[in-house]
Amino acid sequence: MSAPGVRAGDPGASYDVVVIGAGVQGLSTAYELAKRGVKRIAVLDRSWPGGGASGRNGELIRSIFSSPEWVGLFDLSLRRWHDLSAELEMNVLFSPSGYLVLASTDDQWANCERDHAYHLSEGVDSELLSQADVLKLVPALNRDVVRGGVLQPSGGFAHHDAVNWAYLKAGARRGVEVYCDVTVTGLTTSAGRVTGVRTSRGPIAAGLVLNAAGGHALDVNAWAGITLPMVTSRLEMLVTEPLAPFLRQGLAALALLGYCHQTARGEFVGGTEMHHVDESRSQNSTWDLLADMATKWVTLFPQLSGARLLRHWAGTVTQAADLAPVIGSVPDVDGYLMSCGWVYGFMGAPGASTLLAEEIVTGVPSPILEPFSPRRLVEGRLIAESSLVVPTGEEHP
Amino acid sequence: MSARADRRTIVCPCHDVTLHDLKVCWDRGYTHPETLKRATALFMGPCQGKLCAPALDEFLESVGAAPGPDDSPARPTVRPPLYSVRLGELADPDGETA
Repeated sequence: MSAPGVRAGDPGASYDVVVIGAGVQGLSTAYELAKRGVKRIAVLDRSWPGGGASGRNGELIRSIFSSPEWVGLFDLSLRRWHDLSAELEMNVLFSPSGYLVLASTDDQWANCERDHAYHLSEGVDSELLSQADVLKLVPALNRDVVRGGVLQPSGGFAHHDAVNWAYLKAGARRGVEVYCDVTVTGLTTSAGRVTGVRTSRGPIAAGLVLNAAGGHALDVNAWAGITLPMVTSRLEMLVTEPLAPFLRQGLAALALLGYCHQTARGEFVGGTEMHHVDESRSQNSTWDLLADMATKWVTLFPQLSGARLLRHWAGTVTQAADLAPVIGSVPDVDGYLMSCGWVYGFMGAPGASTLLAEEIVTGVPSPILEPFSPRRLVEGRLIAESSLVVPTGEEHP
Repeated sequence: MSARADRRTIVCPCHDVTLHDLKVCWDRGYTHPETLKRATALFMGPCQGKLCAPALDEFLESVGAAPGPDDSPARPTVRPPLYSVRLGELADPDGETA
Protein backbone atom coordinates (compact mmCIF):
# COMPACT_ATOMS: atom_id res chain seq x y z
CA MET A 1 0.00 0.00 0.00
CA SER A 2 1.22 3.51 -0.59
CA ALA A 3 -2.03 5.42 -0.20
CA PRO A 4 -5.44 4.56 1.29
CA GLY A 5 -7.30 2.26 -1.09
CA VAL A 6 -4.21 0.74 -2.72
CA ARG A 7 -4.24 -3.05 -2.43
CA ALA A 8 -1.46 -5.18 -1.02
CA GLY A 9 -0.55 -8.44 -2.76
CA ASP A 10 -0.62 -9.36 -6.40
CA PRO A 11 -3.27 -8.52 -9.00
CA GLY A 12 -5.54 -11.30 -10.25
CA ALA A 13 -5.12 -13.16 -13.54
CA SER A 14 -8.01 -11.55 -15.37
CA TYR A 15 -10.18 -8.41 -15.32
CA ASP A 16 -12.88 -6.86 -17.45
CA VAL A 17 -10.94 -3.60 -17.56
CA VAL A 18 -7.24 -3.02 -16.87
CA VAL A 19 -6.21 0.62 -16.54
CA ILE A 20 -2.52 1.44 -16.99
CA GLY A 21 -1.60 4.35 -14.74
CA ALA A 22 -2.96 5.41 -11.32
CA GLY A 23 -3.05 9.06 -12.20
CA VAL A 24 -6.12 11.23 -12.20
CA GLN A 25 -7.34 9.95 -15.60
CA GLY A 26 -6.95 6.28 -14.71
CA LEU A 27 -8.37 6.58 -11.20
CA SER A 28 -11.32 8.74 -12.22
CA THR A 29 -12.24 6.53 -15.18
CA ALA A 30 -12.01 3.41 -13.00
CA TYR A 31 -14.27 5.08 -10.44
CA GLU A 32 -16.81 6.14 -13.08
CA LEU A 33 -16.85 2.61 -14.52
CA ALA A 34 -17.42 1.06 -11.09
CA LYS A 35 -20.18 3.58 -10.45
CA ARG A 36 -21.88 2.28 -13.61
CA GLY A 37 -21.71 -1.32 -12.44
CA VAL A 38 -18.50 -2.62 -14.03
CA LYS A 39 -17.27 -5.18 -11.50
CA ARG A 40 -13.77 -6.35 -12.31
CA ILE A 41 -11.46 -3.36 -12.74
CA ALA A 42 -7.75 -3.17 -11.99
CA VAL A 43 -5.62 -0.03 -12.04
CA LEU A 44 -1.88 -0.71 -12.29
CA ASP A 45 0.92 1.73 -11.55
CA ARG A 46 4.67 1.36 -11.59
CA SER A 47 5.09 3.77 -8.70
CA TRP A 48 2.76 5.56 -6.26
CA PRO A 49 -0.68 6.97 -7.14
CA GLY A 50 -0.57 10.47 -8.60
CA GLY A 51 3.22 10.34 -8.86
CA GLY A 52 3.37 11.66 -12.40
CA ALA A 53 1.76 14.77 -13.82
CA SER A 54 -1.40 14.24 -11.72
CA GLY A 55 0.49 15.36 -8.62
CA ARG A 56 2.72 17.91 -10.36
CA ASN A 57 0.27 20.10 -12.27
CA GLY A 58 -0.95 23.66 -11.73
CA GLU A 59 -4.32 22.54 -10.24
CA LEU A 60 -6.28 25.11 -12.23
CA ILE A 61 -9.86 24.69 -13.41
CA ARG A 62 -11.75 26.60 -16.10
CA SER A 63 -13.98 26.12 -19.11
CA ILE A 64 -13.49 29.55 -20.72
CA PHE A 65 -11.66 28.33 -23.80
CA SER A 66 -12.10 29.62 -27.33
CA SER A 67 -13.18 26.52 -29.28
CA PRO A 68 -16.47 24.60 -29.19
CA GLU A 69 -14.56 21.35 -28.62
CA TRP A 70 -12.69 22.52 -25.53
CA VAL A 71 -15.64 24.45 -24.11
CA GLY A 72 -17.91 21.41 -24.53
CA LEU A 73 -15.64 19.04 -22.63
CA PHE A 74 -14.31 21.40 -19.99
CA ASP A 75 -17.66 23.00 -19.18
CA LEU A 76 -19.05 19.57 -18.35
CA SER A 77 -15.95 19.01 -16.24
CA LEU A 78 -16.39 22.32 -14.45
CA ARG A 79 -19.92 21.31 -13.48
CA ARG A 80 -18.58 17.99 -12.17
CA TRP A 81 -15.97 19.87 -10.08
CA HIS A 82 -18.69 21.70 -8.19
CA ASP A 83 -20.16 18.42 -6.85
CA LEU A 84 -17.01 16.34 -6.67
CA SER A 85 -16.21 16.56 -2.95
CA ALA A 86 -19.75 15.59 -1.99
CA GLU A 87 -19.88 12.74 -4.48
CA LEU A 88 -16.48 11.29 -3.61
CA GLU A 89 -17.06 11.85 0.12
CA MET A 90 -13.74 13.60 0.54
CA ASN A 91 -12.91 17.27 0.48
CA VAL A 92 -10.82 17.86 -2.64
CA LEU A 93 -10.33 21.52 -1.61
CA PHE A 94 -12.02 22.87 -4.72
CA SER A 95 -11.95 26.68 -4.54
CA PRO A 96 -14.44 28.20 -6.97
CA SER A 97 -12.81 31.57 -6.44
CA GLY A 98 -12.63 32.47 -10.11
CA TYR A 99 -10.32 31.99 -13.07
CA LEU A 100 -8.89 34.94 -14.94
CA VAL A 101 -7.42 34.77 -18.44
CA LEU A 102 -5.24 37.85 -18.62
CA ALA A 103 -4.64 39.77 -21.85
CA SER A 104 -1.57 42.01 -22.06
CA THR A 105 -1.75 43.13 -25.68
CA ASP A 106 -4.45 44.55 -27.95
CA ASP A 107 -4.46 41.34 -29.96
CA GLN A 108 -4.99 39.23 -26.85
CA TRP A 109 -7.70 41.62 -25.70
CA ALA A 110 -9.47 41.25 -29.04
CA ASN A 111 -9.34 37.47 -28.57
CA CYS A 112 -10.80 37.86 -25.09
CA GLU A 113 -13.69 39.92 -26.46
CA ARG A 114 -14.37 37.33 -29.14
CA ASP A 115 -14.09 34.40 -26.69
CA HIS A 116 -16.36 36.11 -24.18
CA ALA A 117 -19.05 36.64 -26.84
CA TYR A 118 -18.80 32.96 -27.67
CA HIS A 119 -19.09 32.00 -23.99
CA LEU A 120 -22.26 34.05 -23.68
CA SER A 121 -23.75 32.41 -26.75
CA GLU A 122 -23.11 28.98 -25.22
CA GLY A 123 -24.33 29.88 -21.73
CA VAL A 124 -20.82 29.51 -20.29
CA ASP A 125 -20.08 31.47 -17.12
CA SER A 126 -17.85 34.34 -18.30
CA GLU A 127 -17.28 38.04 -17.66
CA LEU A 128 -15.31 40.48 -19.78
CA LEU A 129 -13.04 42.69 -17.70
CA SER A 130 -11.49 45.98 -18.76
CA GLN A 131 -8.02 46.96 -17.61
CA ALA A 132 -9.56 48.87 -14.69
CA ASP A 133 -11.78 45.90 -13.79
CA VAL A 134 -8.80 43.55 -13.71
CA LEU A 135 -6.73 45.90 -11.58
CA LYS A 136 -9.63 46.34 -9.18
CA LEU A 137 -10.00 42.56 -8.91
CA VAL A 138 -6.27 41.84 -8.54
CA PRO A 139 -4.57 45.05 -7.37
CA ALA A 140 -1.22 43.26 -6.98
CA LEU A 141 -0.88 42.94 -10.78
CA ASN A 142 1.65 45.08 -12.61
CA ARG A 143 -0.61 47.42 -14.63
CA ASP A 144 1.90 47.50 -17.49
CA VAL A 145 1.03 43.91 -18.39
CA VAL A 146 -2.73 44.29 -17.95
CA ARG A 147 -4.86 45.11 -20.99
CA GLY A 148 -7.99 43.30 -19.80
CA GLY A 149 -9.24 39.80 -19.37
CA VAL A 150 -11.96 37.20 -19.23
CA LEU A 151 -13.07 36.02 -15.82
CA GLN A 152 -14.92 32.83 -15.04
CA PRO A 153 -16.31 33.39 -11.54
CA SER A 154 -17.16 29.70 -11.07
CA GLY A 155 -13.69 28.49 -12.11
CA GLY A 156 -10.77 28.19 -9.74
CA PHE A 157 -8.51 25.41 -8.51
CA ALA A 158 -8.45 22.29 -6.33
CA HIS A 159 -5.82 20.29 -4.49
CA HIS A 160 -4.38 17.68 -6.84
CA ASP A 161 -3.27 15.16 -4.22
CA ALA A 162 -6.68 15.27 -2.56
CA VAL A 163 -8.34 14.71 -5.95
CA ASN A 164 -6.20 11.67 -6.75
CA TRP A 165 -6.80 10.19 -3.30
CA ALA A 166 -10.52 10.89 -3.38
CA TYR A 167 -10.98 9.08 -6.71
CA LEU A 168 -8.74 6.26 -5.48
CA LYS A 169 -10.70 5.73 -2.28
CA ALA A 170 -14.10 6.17 -3.88
CA GLY A 171 -13.16 3.62 -6.56
CA ALA A 172 -11.76 1.20 -3.98
CA ARG A 173 -15.03 1.39 -2.01
CA ARG A 174 -16.82 0.28 -5.17
CA GLY A 175 -14.45 -2.61 -5.75
CA VAL A 176 -11.81 -1.08 -8.03
CA GLU A 177 -8.50 -2.86 -7.36
CA VAL A 178 -5.54 -0.46 -7.43
CA TYR A 179 -2.05 -1.96 -7.39
CA CYS A 180 1.13 0.06 -7.15
CA ASP A 181 4.71 -1.05 -7.76
CA VAL A 182 3.41 -3.13 -10.66
CA THR A 183 5.22 -2.25 -13.87
CA VAL A 184 3.44 -2.96 -17.13
CA THR A 185 6.06 -4.22 -19.57
CA GLY A 186 3.97 -5.00 -22.64
CA LEU A 187 0.60 -5.89 -24.07
CA THR A 188 -0.72 -9.25 -25.15
CA THR A 189 -2.53 -9.29 -28.47
CA SER A 190 -4.42 -11.80 -30.55
CA ALA A 191 -5.64 -11.27 -34.10
CA GLY A 192 -5.35 -7.48 -33.95
CA ARG A 193 -7.02 -7.31 -30.56
CA VAL A 194 -5.40 -6.28 -27.29
CA THR A 195 -6.15 -9.09 -24.82
CA GLY A 196 -4.23 -8.05 -21.73
CA VAL A 197 -1.01 -6.73 -20.23
CA ARG A 198 2.35 -8.19 -19.31
CA THR A 199 3.57 -6.99 -15.95
CA SER A 200 6.43 -7.35 -13.50
CA ARG A 201 4.11 -9.70 -11.59
CA GLY A 202 3.00 -11.78 -14.54
CA PRO A 203 0.46 -11.52 -17.35
CA ILE A 204 -3.07 -10.23 -16.77
CA ALA A 205 -5.91 -10.84 -19.20
CA ALA A 206 -8.27 -7.94 -19.88
CA GLY A 207 -11.47 -7.45 -21.81
CA LEU A 208 -10.39 -3.87 -22.30
CA VAL A 209 -7.08 -2.08 -21.69
CA LEU A 210 -7.11 1.68 -21.03
CA ASN A 211 -3.88 3.56 -21.64
CA ALA A 212 -3.83 6.31 -19.01
CA ALA A 213 -0.06 6.27 -18.64
CA GLY A 214 0.53 10.04 -18.89
CA GLY A 215 4.16 10.74 -19.75
CA HIS A 216 4.67 7.03 -20.52
CA ALA A 217 1.66 6.69 -22.81
CA LEU A 218 3.71 6.45 -25.99
CA ASP A 219 5.45 3.27 -24.75
CA VAL A 220 2.08 1.65 -24.26
CA ASN A 221 0.89 2.78 -27.68
CA ALA A 222 4.04 1.35 -29.23
CA TRP A 223 3.32 -2.06 -27.68
CA ALA A 224 -0.04 -1.95 -29.42
CA GLY A 225 1.68 -1.07 -32.70
CA ILE A 226 0.15 2.41 -32.62
CA THR A 227 2.12 5.37 -33.91
CA LEU A 228 0.43 8.73 -33.55
CA PRO A 229 2.03 12.16 -33.95
CA MET A 230 2.56 12.85 -30.25
CA VAL A 231 5.61 13.71 -28.15
CA THR A 232 6.57 13.47 -24.48
CA SER A 233 7.50 16.80 -22.98
CA ARG A 234 8.47 18.36 -19.68
CA LEU A 235 6.65 21.18 -17.86
CA GLU A 236 7.97 22.94 -14.75
CA MET A 237 6.50 24.80 -11.78
CA LEU A 238 7.55 26.51 -8.59
CA VAL A 239 6.09 27.31 -5.19
CA THR A 240 7.01 30.12 -2.79
CA GLU A 241 6.80 30.44 0.95
CA PRO A 242 3.32 31.29 2.30
CA LEU A 243 2.42 34.94 1.68
CA ALA A 244 -0.40 37.17 2.83
CA PRO A 245 -3.39 36.68 0.50
CA PHE A 246 -3.02 38.72 -2.71
CA LEU A 247 -4.50 36.46 -5.39
CA ARG A 248 -7.88 34.79 -4.98
CA GLN A 249 -8.32 33.61 -8.54
CA GLY A 250 -6.56 31.10 -10.72
CA LEU A 251 -4.81 33.08 -13.42
CA ALA A 252 -3.47 32.38 -16.91
CA ALA A 253 -1.31 35.09 -18.46
CA LEU A 254 -1.36 34.73 -22.24
CA ALA A 255 1.68 36.96 -22.83
CA LEU A 256 3.80 35.04 -20.33
CA LEU A 257 2.69 31.51 -21.23
CA GLY A 258 2.11 31.26 -17.50
CA TYR A 259 -0.50 30.01 -15.04
CA CYS A 260 -0.64 30.47 -11.30
CA HIS A 261 -2.71 30.64 -8.13
CA GLN A 262 -2.24 31.16 -4.41
CA THR A 263 -3.04 28.20 -2.17
CA ALA A 264 -5.19 28.30 0.95
CA ARG A 265 -1.93 28.09 2.91
CA GLY A 266 -0.71 31.23 1.13
CA GLU A 267 1.92 29.73 -1.15
CA PHE A 268 2.15 31.19 -4.65
CA VAL A 269 2.25 28.33 -7.16
CA GLY A 270 2.96 28.93 -10.81
CA GLY A 271 4.41 27.49 -13.97
CA THR A 272 5.56 29.14 -17.18
CA GLU A 273 6.66 27.84 -20.54
CA MET A 274 9.14 29.07 -23.08
CA HIS A 275 8.32 29.23 -26.76
CA HIS A 276 9.34 25.71 -27.61
CA VAL A 277 8.26 22.23 -26.62
CA ASP A 278 10.75 20.76 -24.15
CA GLU A 279 10.84 17.20 -25.45
CA SER A 280 12.12 15.23 -22.50
CA ARG A 281 11.14 12.42 -20.16
CA SER A 282 13.16 13.85 -17.30
CA GLN A 283 11.44 14.90 -14.10
CA ASN A 284 14.42 17.04 -13.17
CA SER A 285 13.85 20.78 -13.15
CA THR A 286 16.11 23.14 -15.09
CA TRP A 287 17.88 26.43 -14.48
CA ASP A 288 16.52 27.98 -17.69
CA LEU A 289 12.92 27.49 -16.62
CA LEU A 290 13.65 28.70 -13.10
CA ALA A 291 15.01 31.95 -14.49
CA ASP A 292 12.05 32.18 -16.88
CA MET A 293 9.52 31.66 -14.10
CA ALA A 294 11.19 34.02 -11.65
CA THR A 295 11.44 36.75 -14.28
CA LYS A 296 7.86 36.42 -15.45
CA TRP A 297 6.27 36.15 -12.01
CA VAL A 298 8.20 39.11 -10.67
CA THR A 299 7.14 41.04 -13.77
CA LEU A 300 3.49 40.11 -13.26
CA PHE A 301 3.46 40.60 -9.49
CA PRO A 302 6.33 42.94 -8.49
CA GLN A 303 5.82 42.10 -4.81
CA LEU A 304 6.98 38.54 -5.51
CA SER A 305 10.51 39.88 -5.88
CA GLY A 306 10.88 39.50 -2.11
CA ALA A 307 9.13 36.13 -1.86
CA ARG A 308 11.28 33.12 -1.14
CA LEU A 309 11.24 30.21 -3.56
CA LEU A 310 10.72 26.97 -1.68
CA ARG A 311 10.54 24.29 -4.34
CA HIS A 312 10.83 23.87 -8.09
CA TRP A 313 9.83 20.69 -9.87
CA ALA A 314 9.00 19.17 -13.24
CA GLY A 315 6.49 16.72 -14.65
CA THR A 316 6.03 15.08 -18.01
CA VAL A 317 3.07 14.89 -20.35
CA THR A 318 2.41 13.29 -23.70
CA GLN A 319 1.02 15.84 -26.12
CA ALA A 320 -0.40 16.12 -29.60
CA ALA A 321 0.41 19.19 -31.69
CA ASP A 322 -2.91 20.83 -30.72
CA LEU A 323 -2.41 20.12 -26.96
CA ALA A 324 -5.89 18.60 -26.86
CA PRO A 325 -6.43 15.25 -25.17
CA VAL A 326 -6.56 12.07 -27.21
CA ILE A 327 -9.46 10.00 -25.92
CA GLY A 328 -11.17 6.87 -27.17
CA SER A 329 -10.53 3.89 -29.40
CA VAL A 330 -7.91 3.63 -32.09
CA PRO A 331 -8.89 2.60 -35.64
CA ASP A 332 -8.16 -1.12 -36.25
CA VAL A 333 -7.11 -1.86 -32.65
CA ASP A 334 -9.83 -3.60 -30.64
CA GLY A 335 -9.85 -3.99 -26.87
CA TYR A 336 -7.83 -0.82 -26.38
CA LEU A 337 -8.67 2.75 -25.40
CA MET A 338 -6.58 5.82 -24.83
CA SER A 339 -7.01 8.67 -22.39
CA CYS A 340 -3.73 10.35 -23.22
CA GLY A 341 -2.31 13.54 -24.62
CA TRP A 342 -3.48 15.42 -21.57
CA VAL A 343 -1.92 18.81 -20.90
CA TYR A 344 -5.00 20.31 -19.22
CA GLY A 345 -5.76 16.91 -17.73
CA PHE A 346 -6.32 17.82 -14.11
CA MET A 347 -9.20 20.16 -14.90
CA GLY A 348 -10.54 17.87 -17.61
CA ALA A 349 -10.52 14.59 -15.73
CA PRO A 350 -13.92 14.72 -14.00
CA GLY A 351 -15.71 15.44 -17.28
CA ALA A 352 -13.69 13.16 -19.54
CA SER A 353 -13.85 10.18 -17.19
CA THR A 354 -17.61 10.54 -16.87
CA LEU A 355 -18.10 10.54 -20.64
CA LEU A 356 -15.54 7.83 -21.35
CA ALA A 357 -17.03 5.46 -18.77
CA GLU A 358 -20.51 6.15 -20.16
CA GLU A 359 -19.26 5.39 -23.66
CA ILE A 360 -17.58 2.13 -22.53
CA VAL A 361 -20.66 0.92 -20.68
CA THR A 362 -23.31 1.90 -23.24
CA GLY A 363 -21.29 1.53 -26.43
CA VAL A 364 -22.76 4.83 -27.59
CA PRO A 365 -20.10 7.34 -28.72
CA SER A 366 -20.17 10.65 -26.88
CA PRO A 367 -20.57 13.65 -29.18
CA ILE A 368 -18.51 15.72 -26.72
CA LEU A 369 -15.59 13.27 -26.76
CA GLU A 370 -15.75 12.50 -30.49
CA PRO A 371 -13.67 15.53 -31.58
CA PHE A 372 -10.84 14.34 -29.30
CA SER A 373 -10.67 10.83 -30.73
CA PRO A 374 -7.29 9.36 -31.79
CA ARG A 375 -8.76 9.25 -35.29
CA ARG A 376 -8.28 13.01 -35.60
CA LEU A 377 -4.51 12.53 -35.42
CA VAL A 378 -4.60 9.73 -37.97
CA GLU A 379 -6.56 12.02 -40.28
CA GLY A 380 -4.56 15.13 -39.42
CA ARG A 381 -7.52 17.09 -38.02
CA LEU A 382 -6.19 19.34 -35.28
CA ILE A 383 -8.41 21.33 -32.93
CA ALA A 384 -7.83 25.08 -33.09
CA GLU A 385 -7.82 26.46 -29.53
CA SER A 386 -6.29 29.89 -29.03
CA SER A 387 -6.50 30.49 -25.28
CA LEU A 388 -3.84 28.02 -24.10
CA VAL A 389 -0.76 28.99 -22.15
CA VAL A 390 1.43 26.03 -23.10
CA PRO A 391 3.52 26.13 -26.29
CA THR A 392 2.27 24.05 -29.20
CA GLY A 393 5.57 23.97 -31.01
CA GLU A 394 3.93 26.13 -33.67
CA GLU A 395 4.87 29.78 -34.16
CA HIS A 396 3.97 31.99 -31.21
CA PRO A 397 3.53 35.77 -31.10
CA MET B 1 4.88 7.26 23.84
CA SER B 2 1.32 8.06 24.78
CA ALA B 3 -1.04 9.62 22.26
CA ARG B 4 -1.04 12.71 24.43
CA ALA B 5 2.73 12.97 24.20
CA ASP B 6 2.59 12.27 20.45
CA ARG B 7 0.24 15.22 20.04
CA ARG B 8 2.76 17.47 21.76
CA THR B 9 5.76 16.20 19.81
CA ILE B 10 6.40 18.49 16.86
CA VAL B 11 8.19 16.82 13.95
CA CYS B 12 7.71 19.69 11.49
CA PRO B 13 7.92 23.16 13.02
CA CYS B 14 7.17 24.78 9.63
CA HIS B 15 3.69 23.29 9.45
CA ASP B 16 3.05 22.23 13.05
CA VAL B 17 2.99 18.54 12.13
CA THR B 18 3.08 16.33 15.21
CA LEU B 19 4.20 12.76 15.69
CA HIS B 20 0.52 11.96 16.18
CA ASP B 21 -0.28 13.37 12.71
CA LEU B 22 2.48 11.26 11.24
CA LYS B 23 1.24 8.09 12.91
CA VAL B 24 -2.38 8.74 11.91
CA CYS B 25 -1.43 9.26 8.26
CA TRP B 26 0.75 6.16 8.27
CA ASP B 27 -2.03 4.08 9.81
CA ARG B 28 -4.50 5.36 7.23
CA GLY B 29 -2.27 4.03 4.48
CA TYR B 30 0.06 6.84 3.44
CA THR B 31 3.01 4.49 3.69
CA HIS B 32 5.25 5.75 0.89
CA PRO B 33 7.65 8.63 1.63
CA GLU B 34 6.08 10.60 -1.24
CA THR B 35 2.47 10.10 -0.14
CA LEU B 36 3.35 10.62 3.52
CA LYS B 37 4.99 13.93 2.57
CA ARG B 38 1.88 15.09 0.74
CA ALA B 39 -0.54 13.90 3.43
CA THR B 40 1.34 15.64 6.26
CA ALA B 41 3.12 18.57 4.46
CA LEU B 42 6.44 17.31 5.83
CA PHE B 43 9.37 18.51 3.68
CA MET B 44 7.16 21.28 2.24
CA GLY B 45 7.98 24.12 4.61
CA PRO B 46 10.52 26.94 4.50
CA CYS B 47 13.24 24.78 6.15
CA GLN B 48 13.26 22.56 3.02
CA GLY B 49 12.97 19.42 5.15
CA LYS B 50 16.08 20.03 7.19
CA LEU B 51 14.20 19.92 10.50
CA CYS B 52 11.76 17.08 9.80
CA ALA B 53 14.05 14.68 7.93
CA PRO B 54 15.74 13.16 10.99
CA ALA B 55 12.36 12.76 12.71
CA LEU B 56 10.94 11.04 9.62
CA ASP B 57 13.96 8.72 9.45
CA GLU B 58 13.44 7.72 13.05
CA PHE B 59 9.71 7.23 12.57
CA LEU B 60 10.10 5.08 9.46
CA GLU B 61 12.68 2.94 11.22
CA SER B 62 10.35 2.54 14.20
CA VAL B 63 7.53 1.21 12.00
CA GLY B 64 9.87 -1.06 10.06
CA ALA B 65 9.53 0.73 6.72
CA ALA B 66 11.75 -0.46 3.87
CA PRO B 67 14.90 1.64 3.52
CA GLY B 68 15.72 3.67 0.42
CA PRO B 69 18.35 2.81 -2.21
CA ASP B 70 21.71 1.62 -0.78
CA ASP B 71 20.16 1.36 2.69
CA SER B 72 19.84 5.14 2.89
CA PRO B 73 16.80 6.43 4.78
CA ALA B 74 13.62 6.36 2.66
CA ARG B 75 12.84 9.99 1.88
CA PRO B 76 10.89 11.98 -0.67
CA THR B 77 12.83 13.23 -3.70
CA VAL B 78 14.89 16.31 -2.93
CA ARG B 79 13.59 19.37 -4.72
CA PRO B 80 15.70 22.43 -5.38
CA PRO B 81 16.68 24.88 -4.06
CA LEU B 82 18.57 23.52 -1.07
CA TYR B 83 18.16 26.87 0.64
CA SER B 84 15.22 29.14 -0.08
CA VAL B 85 16.07 32.11 -2.27
CA ARG B 86 14.15 35.26 -3.19
CA LEU B 87 12.54 35.27 -6.63
CA GLY B 88 13.93 38.76 -7.24
CA GLU B 89 17.44 37.36 -7.06
CA LEU B 90 16.64 34.81 -9.74
CA ALA B 91 14.72 37.15 -12.03
CA ASP B 92 16.44 38.50 -15.10
CA PRO B 93 14.10 41.19 -16.45
CA ASP B 94 16.52 42.36 -19.15
CA GLY B 95 17.66 38.91 -20.19
CA GLU B 96 16.50 36.83 -23.08
CA THR B 97 14.01 34.94 -20.92
CA ALA B 98 11.85 38.04 -20.47
